[in-house]
Amino acid sequence: MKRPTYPFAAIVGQEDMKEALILNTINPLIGGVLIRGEKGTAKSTAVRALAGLLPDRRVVTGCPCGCDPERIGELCPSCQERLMQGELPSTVCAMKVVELPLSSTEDRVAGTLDIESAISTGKKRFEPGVLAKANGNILYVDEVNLLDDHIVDLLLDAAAMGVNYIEREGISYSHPSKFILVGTMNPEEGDLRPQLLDRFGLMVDVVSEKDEEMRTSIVQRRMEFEKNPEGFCKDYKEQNDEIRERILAARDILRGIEAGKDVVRAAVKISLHLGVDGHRADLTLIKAAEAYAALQGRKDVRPSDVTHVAKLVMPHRMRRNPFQDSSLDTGELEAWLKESFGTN
Amino acid sequence: MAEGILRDELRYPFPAFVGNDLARKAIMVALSSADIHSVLVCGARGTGKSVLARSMQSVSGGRVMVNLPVGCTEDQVFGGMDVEKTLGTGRKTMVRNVLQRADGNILFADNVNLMSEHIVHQVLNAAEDGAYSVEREGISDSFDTRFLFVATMDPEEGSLSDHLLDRFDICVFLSTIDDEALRTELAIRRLRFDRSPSEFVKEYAGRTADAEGSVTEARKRARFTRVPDGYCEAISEVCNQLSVSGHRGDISVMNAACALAALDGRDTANLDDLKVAAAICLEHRRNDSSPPPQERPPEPPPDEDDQEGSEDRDDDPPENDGSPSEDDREGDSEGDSEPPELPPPEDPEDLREQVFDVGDAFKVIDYMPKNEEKLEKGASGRRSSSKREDSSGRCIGYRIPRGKVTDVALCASIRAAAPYQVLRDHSELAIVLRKEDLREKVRERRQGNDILFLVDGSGSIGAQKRMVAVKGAILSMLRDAYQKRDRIGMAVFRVDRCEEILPLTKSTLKAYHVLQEIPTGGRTPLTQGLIKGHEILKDSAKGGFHPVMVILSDGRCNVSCTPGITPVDEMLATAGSLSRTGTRFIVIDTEAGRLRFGLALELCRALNGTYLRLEDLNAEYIERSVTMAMNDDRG
Repeated sequence: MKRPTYPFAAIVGQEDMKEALILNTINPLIGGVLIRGEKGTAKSTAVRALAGLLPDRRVVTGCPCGCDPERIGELCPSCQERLMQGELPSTVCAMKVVELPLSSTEDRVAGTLDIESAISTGKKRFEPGVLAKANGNILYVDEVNLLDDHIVDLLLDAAAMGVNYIEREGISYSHPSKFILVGTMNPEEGDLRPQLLDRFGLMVDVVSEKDEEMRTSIVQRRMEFEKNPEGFCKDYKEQNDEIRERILAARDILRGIEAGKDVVRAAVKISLHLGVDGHRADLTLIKAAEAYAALQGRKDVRPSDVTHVAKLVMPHRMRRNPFQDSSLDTGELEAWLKESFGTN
Repeated sequence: MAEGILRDELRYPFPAFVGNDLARKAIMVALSSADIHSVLVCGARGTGKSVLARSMQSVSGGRVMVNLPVGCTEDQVFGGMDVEKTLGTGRKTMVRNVLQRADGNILFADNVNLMSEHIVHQVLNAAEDGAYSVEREGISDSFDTRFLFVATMDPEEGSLSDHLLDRFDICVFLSTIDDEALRTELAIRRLRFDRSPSEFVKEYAGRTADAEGSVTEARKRARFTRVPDGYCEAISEVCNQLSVSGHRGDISVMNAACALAALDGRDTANLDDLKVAAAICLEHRRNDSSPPPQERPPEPPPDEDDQEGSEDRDDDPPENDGSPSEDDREGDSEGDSEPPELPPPEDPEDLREQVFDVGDAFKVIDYMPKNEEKLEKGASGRRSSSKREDSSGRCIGYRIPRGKVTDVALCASIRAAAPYQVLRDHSELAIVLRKEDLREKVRERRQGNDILFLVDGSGSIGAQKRMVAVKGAILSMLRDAYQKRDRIGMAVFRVDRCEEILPLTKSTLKAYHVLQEIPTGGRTPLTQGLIKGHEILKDSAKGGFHPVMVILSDGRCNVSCTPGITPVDEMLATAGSLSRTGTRFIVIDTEAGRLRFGLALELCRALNGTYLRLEDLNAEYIERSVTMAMNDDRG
């Protein structure tokens, strides 16, 4: 029997990390989260626990890429064929956390020729890889900074286009690969390539809790969970469901939300002030602000929402060359924001 | 659905792209000319390189964009055997490859600098020739293919080599928009596109159709457009001024100017066309030393030399009375080549530690000696891309195995076996593999080098403030190492031992912090340094990395491990035995001033390494001195 995962609601503290993860489940277009921190700070626990909060999604029955039947333009070749022949049967299943192990090989990540089918029938068939499984789900890379360069290249390619193109071993294929990229890393073990860093919509730095009371409760809960996982999960079911309901409600609200010009301008101002490269920061600020407003149950996005999410969006984009520390002077930023946008 | 073609949802309408006018113009030019075969879009992350490149599809006049993914294999790009068809007939049939699918269309490679240079090179060749010859997997064939190759790259992740860059007809650089209003407009448009791509595309349908119309018109007209005679010389002159080598630049400018005129509805190009054409065709081909805009020119080294020269004059004369080897024989208690102003080693003052600032970074020359293994296999690529013997790295192809097969390329083996299946006995499998069908994978990996910086932290480096320059040099090499994905380590030898201050890592940030804190002061235990360096690097060869030791020192070793042997002799003997370990050595001589002992050069000879003076590392300095020498000649 599968061992239950530690419930999200039972994680003590680490509010920024939890918020970053939740915002992404509300709007997957935010672009994922990078969680940096030393070991033992509940990074992996939180990501795995997220699985218990994820909303359901509709997928084409039996499609290895988990195609969304409503997005006809984005179907994989086999679903397109099925659509031509008739209707696409669909089922509802929960979003998943798909893990990408560090030792993965290129062919398993991108997908490759199905050798078994080639040898036994002589027919070319595509065997989907992790990027197919990740479509519509969360792609989780533990210790993402240790991932081999050429695997990172594949991730970047897929993340940039939302499509995985394969041209290898006699196979030419493409399928949707839209995923929420969640990575964890311990910065002491090496840096992340700036290009990959920039692909993460949000970043949080987690530190171990210093507060004695909190530390005690972390240990106590963990021990309770170890002793009786099922019972523990039952205890937190209600709280977990509550968070899940909030996410679902926020997703509904988000559909009707559109950030006004004042919000966009606020985001642009912040990016200009901090002098980040490129325009991805502006867009992420706005999308995260929209999700945050939705999470608060509001339909109107305010500039203050942008400033609230800035601490998640900006820190990892501050670095202009590989030798500068990426740090965001939050005090300075807040003072500047107050000055530029009045009350905050 | 045709294979590998960019999907509709990615087609941001071209006219909706905000800012970077020159780049947009360049894209229109590329689409409008049948004689422009390749375009490179450069820019920092998030500047919209890919968005711009992919938006070409919306105004291409019916051409589609075929995608060339980073992880493609050679057989798929250039043509390999089609297993299915070959199986049925026993006749070798070629698979419909990417280049063929690109015929009459646009071939798009995102992050082209991350691809195998080998593949990029051949694709560029095919784009220029309009044809490709396949000699692979027993297939010998050639086919015509005319396509426009469009690629993007972020130079921060490492650039393409110069000869590949030169192959691109047009290259444009995108920058982040600083104008607030423009940037707000950009964000608003992008958000609307993300929210509902189809509605957004519909909204821009009119403008997109207009742009597409002018591309189609210009394409017809460009063939008959001419550049007035006198302008050709002007183009050559500009190319000369920018020291563009070769003639591809000239030709590209002519073609681009024609396309610009055609886009404007004219039959002859004018001076403005030429200016724009030169801007988009020549920038990436310039060979002059003018640095990229964001980098400021480095501190001119001659000044530094002068300063140090005067300092040295005070230091050196007392040392003048004996050759270094004589000094050495006097025993290790004597600070043989230390500036005499420093107190004797026993004096606690000598251990006085100083920490110097990091000097300015500069563009380093390609200082890394070529990998012999790489040369042997005739591989191309950036310095650290090396073909691998074990099963890590990206698979770029396969070959008939040499010796025992460990890394089987199953798919290639199946292809190799396919033609013979009609002859073989089948029980239940469609394909029967025999030993002779087996192929093994050829892999390429980009993080090949383990570079250990072995830094002389002795008083002699500190006293002359050489440490500032040394740190600057290391910083510059770190930057280079970052782009090439090397692992770096650092060890400092000073006083009486060598200390590893940075274990091999890929974290340049960490390296930078460590670099700032390197202390200076004390004697020069270079031999210990060599031994320690060897210990640090000895496992990297096992891990498949190429160990490289970069020694930054003046070579004035004055501490020996064994009594009775002079420090320098011991150092040279140690170096001699290390020279056979497979590690590559680079000795960067930090000696400055009038009087030079040349010990670093001797050390380098013993190590069988590459010798460079500290100043030689600075690419711009060398370029400048060459230019100066040439001007002197003329003057």
